[in-house]
Amino acid sequence: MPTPTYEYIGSATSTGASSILQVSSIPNTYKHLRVIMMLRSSDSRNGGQSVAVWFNGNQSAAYSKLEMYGSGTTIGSYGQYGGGAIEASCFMNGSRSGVYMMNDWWILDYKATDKYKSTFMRVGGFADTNNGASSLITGLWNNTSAINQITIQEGGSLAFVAGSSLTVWGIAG
Amino acid sequence: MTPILGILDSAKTGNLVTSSFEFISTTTVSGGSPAAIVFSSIPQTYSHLMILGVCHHTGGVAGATGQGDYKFRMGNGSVDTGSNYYQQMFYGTTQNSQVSFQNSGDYFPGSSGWYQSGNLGGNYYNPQYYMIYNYTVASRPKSFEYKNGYAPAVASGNTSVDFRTGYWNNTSQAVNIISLESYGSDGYFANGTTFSLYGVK
Repeated sequence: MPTPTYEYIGSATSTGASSILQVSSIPNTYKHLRVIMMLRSSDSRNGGQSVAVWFNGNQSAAYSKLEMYGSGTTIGSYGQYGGGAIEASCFMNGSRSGVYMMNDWWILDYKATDKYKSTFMRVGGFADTNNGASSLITGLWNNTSAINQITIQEGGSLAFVAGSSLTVWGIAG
Repeated sequence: MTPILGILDSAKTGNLVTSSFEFISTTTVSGGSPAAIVFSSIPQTYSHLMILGVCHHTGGVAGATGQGDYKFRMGNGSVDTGSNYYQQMFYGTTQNSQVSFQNSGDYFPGSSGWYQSGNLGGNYYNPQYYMIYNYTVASRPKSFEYKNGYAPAVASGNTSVDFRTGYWNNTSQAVNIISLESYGSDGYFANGTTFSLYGVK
């Protein structure tokens, strides 16, 4: 019987009533984490909305990211430093019906207590005839604690629509 | 509506569902400054390989921040140091997004954290991701994908996030050895640098 290498840890799925999704009690038994979020906001506008992501309940000014993106016919990149969360993304509810923003994260060496936590993520989706986004992002939590909880919040504190989800897997190593 | 049903190929496994993503090996730097991290005797029983890790480099100029390259190579029996590595790179910095490419290099350049001093410390590590596709198919050049990034806690002109694809131009051998080599003259992989190898069926 092969040793389990890629295991489901937990998930949270929106019922349409809350702006926050959270997975807690992440065990200390893996090497890396993979996190997939499928997100859509109840905000009635068309376009993208930010999503705050933080670890272990910590919202101090300890998060940074660098994002390279393509949107429509525009490319660019930018950094954010010393924020209270790493910024992910979701589509707003005025975007094409039923399209959820994909956020696919890898969190490397998440339990090492001698390292700041580094991540990279692919984010994107296409929500309208002129409204898509594809990004590659590297993120940092400037903290040496092992990650045991992941929380996300819709950027405008509006609810995620029903079916929005946060799922976490553990990768052995 | 007729549902689309998935079918388990249970005949292959005696009715057991096998794991399709398996851990092969991990190397973590501890108590030394190795010039290379090597995965050898890689099993030939998967379709693809994945490498995940975090990386830190001991080099760097005092007061500087940034990242340095290391040499990613592969081979069969021994590592190929010939001019057989090709890559296309797409990367973003705080200023802009850029592209570059490499023909006939004698290695593929991975990027390691290079945080010896300045406003960054030894707790920073670059995330590392490789996928090596169809590594057992000797007749094809071996394609791979690489992603890494570097976002320090404070603004720095040296930040970057990279997406690269490339291939090892060998059409006679499968891959059974992979090495990640420091330049040496610029420093070495620091303690805590760790790479894990996985097989994907």
